[in-house]
Amino acid sequence: MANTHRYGFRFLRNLWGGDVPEVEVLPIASGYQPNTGTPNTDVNLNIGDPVTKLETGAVQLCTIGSGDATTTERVYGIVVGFPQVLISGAIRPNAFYPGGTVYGSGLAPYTLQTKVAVIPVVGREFEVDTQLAGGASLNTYEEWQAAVGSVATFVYSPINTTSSNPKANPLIDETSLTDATASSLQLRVNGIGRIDDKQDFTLANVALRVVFNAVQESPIRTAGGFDES
Amino acid sequence: MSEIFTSTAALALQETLRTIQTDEHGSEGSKAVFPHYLMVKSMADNYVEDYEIAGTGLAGEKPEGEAMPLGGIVEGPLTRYNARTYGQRIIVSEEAMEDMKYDKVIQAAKRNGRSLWKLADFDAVLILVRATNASFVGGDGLPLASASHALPGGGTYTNMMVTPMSPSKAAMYIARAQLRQQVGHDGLIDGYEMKKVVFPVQQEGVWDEVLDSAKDPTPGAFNAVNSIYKEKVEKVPVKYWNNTTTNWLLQTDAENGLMWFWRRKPKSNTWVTEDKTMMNYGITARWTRGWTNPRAILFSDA
Repeated sequence: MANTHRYGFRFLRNLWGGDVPEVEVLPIASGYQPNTGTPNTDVNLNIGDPVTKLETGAVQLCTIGSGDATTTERVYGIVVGFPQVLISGAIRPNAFYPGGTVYGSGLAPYTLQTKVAVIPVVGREFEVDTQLAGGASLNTYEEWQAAVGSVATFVYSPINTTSSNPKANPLIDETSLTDATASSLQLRVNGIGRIDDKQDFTLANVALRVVFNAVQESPIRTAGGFDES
Repeated sequence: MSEIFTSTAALALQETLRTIQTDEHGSEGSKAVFPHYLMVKSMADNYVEDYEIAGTGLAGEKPEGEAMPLGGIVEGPLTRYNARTYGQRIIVSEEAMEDMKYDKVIQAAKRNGRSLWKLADFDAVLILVRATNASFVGGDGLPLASASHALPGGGTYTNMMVTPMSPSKAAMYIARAQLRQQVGHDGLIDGYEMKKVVFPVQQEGVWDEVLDSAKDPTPGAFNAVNSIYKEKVEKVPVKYWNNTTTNWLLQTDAENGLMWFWRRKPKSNTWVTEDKTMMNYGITARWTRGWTNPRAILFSDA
């Protein structure tokens, strides 16, 4: 049977203990339209999506890529809710951010801003599903265990694209898994997800435990801004 | 997919909805399938061990004036069941608890219950899914279904149909004969009775015909007796057994076959993370499963 897919990055634990993850509420710019890049699909922002902070103060859907190439490939946090969205002319909580929601210009007026709650990724472990079947060299419990420590990128595989809530559907790109020391990709695999062997390791949607490797606001960063120069 | 805030199910913040569609919850334990094909017991320790001892074979002739032949016993494999802990928690903000207008939206305790009992069924069915998989073995180092289970005193026995067959009266006749000549721990023919047939749900119709008809279910032979009918074999369709549509197994009256041990049945607890006013709903259980005596089944790897 196909593995049950659970959406997005799911908070699993704080690496240094504690019941509940810290959450921050940040703004989304007026009119922002999330797009998955490759494939080039407009989507809404949903709970479980990875986002990046911009120097404008807004956040946006994290760009796919190596994690090194541009600032927007480094994840800041994982969406956990939308406390304030302009819906039918007035603000209220919403389960997703409708792409292109206009409330003004830029971040103004702050009273009508779209707001997104995120769990900062630094110091936390998440679960995420693989995109495709791993193939002959990655289809057993032990082979997936051996992926620990490898880095990888995530990809988007948009779902519900014909509905009113198209979703980016972030997944780990198992083809990018590497132990090469020259690679510093977006994710690092910590192990098999907590569902453990109640999943089919020969198929897609194998749940893995990951930490974010290429992050914004890295503890070792000293320069201002979000670029890597 | 993490914490539940007011925004997580924002449309339930006002009473404008006719209904909430979601999975059914409640009484999950009574809906579990695994107790129908596993012997459910409890355990009081971190692990329990089942030990096989075989002896003493056939007695022998004692010529007049000579000593009686000696009988002896020999040990077989040890099967160990280690309790493992499973669980889940759901975190809900106090605001969401206060503002959600529909009970069916959050129902954290019920959702936890469903998740854990479903896991129990998914965990249990792995015994069937992996019945012939040599990577998942029992105490004797062999998978549940094997043609070469070891006898403590030497030799082997099988708990698989020699020729796998699809469900039919003929298959049951052959299976019954094989079971009645199944050997005990000492390798002597003991014979076992068929009690249950366990199968993927795709076979339910044909098993109804084979087991529930007093007359021969074979077309054109309706006046003949269905010899299997008198066995009153119980049908156990397992909806979670989905790696095959053709395999099936008979459960016998051999003791300590497919086992399930509760170390602790599902236990719920709740707590509050005060600084964030977040409610935590947790559920955990401890269990282990497996098999001790492979004679408890006859497997058709069709």
